[in-house]
Amino acid sequence: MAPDNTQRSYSIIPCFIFVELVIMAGTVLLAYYFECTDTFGVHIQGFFCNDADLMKPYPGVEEESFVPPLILYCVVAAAPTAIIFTGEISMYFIKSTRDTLIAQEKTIVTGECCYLNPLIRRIIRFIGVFAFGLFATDIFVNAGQVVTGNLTPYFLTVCKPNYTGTDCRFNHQFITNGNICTGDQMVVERARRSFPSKDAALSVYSAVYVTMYVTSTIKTKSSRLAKPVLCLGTLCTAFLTGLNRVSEYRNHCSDVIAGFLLGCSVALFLGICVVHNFKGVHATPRKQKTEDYRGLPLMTFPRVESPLETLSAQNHSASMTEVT
Amino acid sequence: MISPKDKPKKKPPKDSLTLLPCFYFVELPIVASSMVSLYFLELTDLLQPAQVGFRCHDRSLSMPYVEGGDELIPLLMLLSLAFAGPAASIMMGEGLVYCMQSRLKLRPGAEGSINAGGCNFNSFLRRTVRFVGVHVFGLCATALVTDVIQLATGYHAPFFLTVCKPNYTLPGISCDTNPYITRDICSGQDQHAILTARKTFPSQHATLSAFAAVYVSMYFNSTISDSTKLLKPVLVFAFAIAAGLTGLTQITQYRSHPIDVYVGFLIGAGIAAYLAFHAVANFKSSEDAARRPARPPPKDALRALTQRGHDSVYHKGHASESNDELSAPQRLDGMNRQVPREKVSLGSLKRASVDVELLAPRSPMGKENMVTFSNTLPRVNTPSAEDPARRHMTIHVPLDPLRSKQLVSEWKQKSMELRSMSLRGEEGREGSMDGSDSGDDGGEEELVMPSSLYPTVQASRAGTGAGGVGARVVIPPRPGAPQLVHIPEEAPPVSPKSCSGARAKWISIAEKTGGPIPAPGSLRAANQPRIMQVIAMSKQQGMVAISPKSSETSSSATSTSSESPHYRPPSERDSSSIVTVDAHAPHHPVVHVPSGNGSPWEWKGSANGSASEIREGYELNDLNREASRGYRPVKSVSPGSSASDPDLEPAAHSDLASETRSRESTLRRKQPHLGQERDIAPPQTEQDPFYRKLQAGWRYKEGN
Repeated sequence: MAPDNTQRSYSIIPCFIFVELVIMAGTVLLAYYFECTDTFGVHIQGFFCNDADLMKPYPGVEEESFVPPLILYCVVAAAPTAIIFTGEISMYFIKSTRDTLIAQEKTIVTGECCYLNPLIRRIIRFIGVFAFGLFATDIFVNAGQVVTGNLTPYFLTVCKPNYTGTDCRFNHQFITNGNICTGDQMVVERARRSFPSKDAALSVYSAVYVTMYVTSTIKTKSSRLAKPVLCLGTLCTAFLTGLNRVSEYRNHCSDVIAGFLLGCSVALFLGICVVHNFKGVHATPRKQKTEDYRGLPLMTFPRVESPLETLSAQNHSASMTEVT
Repeated sequence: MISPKDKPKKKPPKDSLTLLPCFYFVELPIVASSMVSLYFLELTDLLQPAQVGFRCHDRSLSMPYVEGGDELIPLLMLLSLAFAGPAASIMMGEGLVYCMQSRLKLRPGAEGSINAGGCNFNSFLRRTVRFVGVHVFGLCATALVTDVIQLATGYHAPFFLTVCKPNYTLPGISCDTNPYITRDICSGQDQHAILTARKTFPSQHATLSAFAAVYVSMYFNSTISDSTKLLKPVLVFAFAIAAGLTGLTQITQYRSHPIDVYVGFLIGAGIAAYLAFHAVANFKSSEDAARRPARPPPKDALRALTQRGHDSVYHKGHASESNDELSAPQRLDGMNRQVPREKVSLGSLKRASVDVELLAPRSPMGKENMVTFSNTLPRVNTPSAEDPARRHMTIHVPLDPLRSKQLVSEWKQKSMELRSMSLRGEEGREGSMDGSDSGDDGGEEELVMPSSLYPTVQASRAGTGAGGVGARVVIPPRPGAPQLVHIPEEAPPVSPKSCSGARAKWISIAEKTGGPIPAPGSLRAANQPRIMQVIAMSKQQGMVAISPKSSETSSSATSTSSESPHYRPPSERDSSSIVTVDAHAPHHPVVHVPSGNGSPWEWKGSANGSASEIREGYELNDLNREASRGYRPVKSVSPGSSASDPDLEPAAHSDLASETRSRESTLRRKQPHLGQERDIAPPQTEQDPFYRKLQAGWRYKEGN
C-alpha cells in the first residue's frame, strides 16, 4: 500500500457538523417527544366486549418486570458501544490488524492541526451510526405504537370498562368508544401501547448490530468458538428478552415478532448499506478490484514473463509433485 | 478494447433515431393501457369480486365501518402521495446530481446527452424521465396486481358484517346448524360499501405505499454517496415509516386485516425491487451496467493457465497502448497490485502444477517445453527456415557455464539479425526467400551456438516450411509465430485428435474470456530488474551502431519496456502477444511429446545425471532464456550490435530500416484485424471473431 495514506479534507468537519449532527439532533428530539411527552396522542382503539385476549392479569408496572426497562436500555445502549470501542482500540493496537485498518482507512487532515486518524474515524462512525439506529428504532416503535394503539393483553384488567346500556348485549359487539375506562389513567395509557414491542425491537437491534460488527471485524484464528458463542449468546439474550415480554403478558406474540423484524431490519440496513459491513470507506473499490482478480485465473507462472521465474516455478512444482 | 476508464469523460451527444419513436409507441402505450385498466378495475364495477362465504357473527368481520369521508388516507390521496413523494424526491436528487456534475468529477457511468428529433435530451432529463416513468408504471402495475388479487380472492374486510347487515332469518339459513354462510344474504343498503368490503386482500394502501417507499429507498441507496453517513438512513427511514404507518392505519381503521397489510407490504416491496433491479438497473446508467459482463470463474487450472496467459497478453496490450503508461508511478501501482495476487495464487499454482504434471506424466521436458512456448512465443518473430542439421549439432555441445554467457550474447546478436531479415521476409512475399536465405547464412556462420540455447532458439526459429502439420492449425497465424511448428517436428506422433481438442479448448476459452482486463503494466513491472540486466548486457556487448532513433530508444531502454514506440508500435506487441495466448492451447501436443525423442533437454538429465548438474543446466537455460527474452526488448535498439560480427554488420545496418518498415507493414497487415476489432467490437465479443479472423489470415498466408 502506498505510504501516502493521508488525505486533506476541509469539508469533513463542516459536513459532520451541519449534516450528521443536525440529523442526529433531529432524531433525538423526535425520540424525546415520543418518549417523554404526550405530543402524539395514542390512537384510541376499540375492543370487543369481554375479549378474552385482553383480560390477562396485570403483571404490575414495567419496573417490576424481570427485565426492567432502565436496565434494558442501559445494556442495549452501553454494551455495543463498549464492544465497538474495545474492538476498535484493540484492532488499532494489534499490529496485524492495524495494517489492514490503516490500509482501509485514510488519515484525514483538516486544517493545520487536526488529524483524524483511522481509529477516531471508525469509532465515531460506528458508534454514531449505532446511536442513530437506536433512536431510529425507538422512533419506529413509538410511531407504530401511537398510530395503531393496539391494546396490551392486560388492557381490560386495568381499564375496568364501565359497560353501560347496550354495550355488551352481544359477544361480538365491538366497542369503539374506548373512553369508558375507570381504571388508573396512566396505566391505561400505557396499556394502549403494545404494537410493536419496544423491548424486543431495541434488544434485537443492538444484538444484530453487535453481531454484525463482531462477525465482520474480529478475526480470530486461534479460537474458533469464541466468536460464534459471543454472537449467538447476544442474539439469544435479545430473543429471550422478547419472549419474556410475552410470558409476562405485557405484549402479544405478534407485537414481539413485529419488534424483532423491525429491529433486525434496521440493524441490517445500517450495517450493510450505511457502514458497509464495518469495512473502511475505501474497502469497496478495493474489494471490487480483488474480485476482478479473482475472476482472473490466479496462476503465477504463465503470467511471469521471465523464464527464470517460470523455470524455477516449474522446477518447484515438479519437485513438489514428485515428492507427493 | 476500451476499458471504462479510457472512455472519454465528456461524451458528445449521441444521435438516436429510435429514442422518440420507442418512447412514443412502446413506453407510452404500456403506461396508458395500464392506467386505463386500472381505472376500470378500481373505479368501475366492471368486474365483480369472487363470492366467498362467511361465518355467522364473525368477530373479525364485525368491526365498525369508517365512512369513506372519515378515512385517514383515502385512496386518491394515497395514490397522489405515493406518486408525488418519490417523484419529487427523484427529481430533486437528479437535479442536484446534475448541478453538481460540473463541480464533482463526472462519474464513470455518467450518461451523455442524446439528440433525437431535433431536441437535446441531457442526462438530467433522461434519468428523471426514466426513473419517474418507471415509478409511475410501477404504481400502476402494483395497483393492477392488487386489484386482480382482490377480485380473485374476494375476502371480506373487517367491516363486512357491519355494512352487510346479514339477514340471518332468511329461509334456509340457520346459524345453529351450519354457521358458514355462502349465500348472499346482505340486507345493507350501501352497495358500494359492501362491494368495497369484499375487496380487501391484499391491502391496496399497503402495496402502493410499500412500492413507493422501497423504490425511492433503493434510489436513495444507490444515489446518495457515502460521505455523509446519516442522510441516507434518515431519508430511507422517513419513507419507510410513512409507508408502514399508511399500512397500519388500514388496520386501525378496520379496513383490512393485519395479514392483508403484511402481504401487501411484501407484494409492493417485491415489485419495487424487481423494477429497480431490472428495469432501471439499480439506478445506474445503462452504459455502466452493460459494460460489466460477468466473468465466469475458470473451471480447472489448465484452463486457468491458458486464460491467464491470455489475460496477461491483454495487460501488455494495455501497457503498450499509451506511452505515458510507461511512466514510473503506474508501474509502481502495478507492482502493488501484483503482490497480493501472487500471494493468493500460490495455492492455485500448486494445483495447476499438479494438473500439468498429470497431463505430462512422462518427463519434465514436456513441461519445460511448454514453458518455452509460453515465454518465447510473444517475442519470437524470427521465422527463418529451420536448419535441422544445426539443431542436431547443437545438442551435443557440452555445457560450459562461462562460455555460455558469451554464447548467449552471440546468439543474441545473431538472432537480431535473423529476426530483422526474417521480418523483411515477412514484409514482402517475394523477399521472404531472400530474407530466410540470408538468415540461414547468418545462422550457419555460427555453428557454435550453445545447445542450451536451443529450446528457445528452436522455438523461435521453427521452420516456416514445416507448416501444415497438425498442431499448426491451432496456431493463430502469424508468419513470425512458428514456435508451435516445431512441436510437430519434435513430436511427430502428435495426434490430430489432441490438436483438435486443443483447438476446441482454445475456442471455448476464447469464448469465455472477455471483458476489459484491468491493471495494465503490472506484468511488465515485475520483470523490470531482469530486463535491465539484460539490457545492460546487450549494451555491454556493444551497441556500436545505434540507430538514428537511438537517443530515445536508449532512454526508453532504461525503462521497463525498452522498446521505442517507433520500432515497436504497441499494436504490434499486441499481435505478437496474442500469439502467446494461442500458444497455450497446444499444451497437449507438447505434453504428449515422448520423452527423449531428440528433445534438446535430454542431455542435461541423461548426460550429467546428478541433480546438481541438472540444476546447473537449468541455470544455464535460465541465462539463455534471459538472453532470449532480453533480445526482445533490445532488438530494436541494437540490430547493429552485431558489430562483433563484421560480416553481418552492413546487412544489419541495412536491415534496420527494413525492420522498421517490416514491422509497420506487419502491423498494418495484422492489426487491421486486431485494431479494428479492438476499437469497434465490445470486449466480450472480441475473442471469437478475432480467432476466426486470425484463422482466415493464416490461410491467406499459407496460400502465399
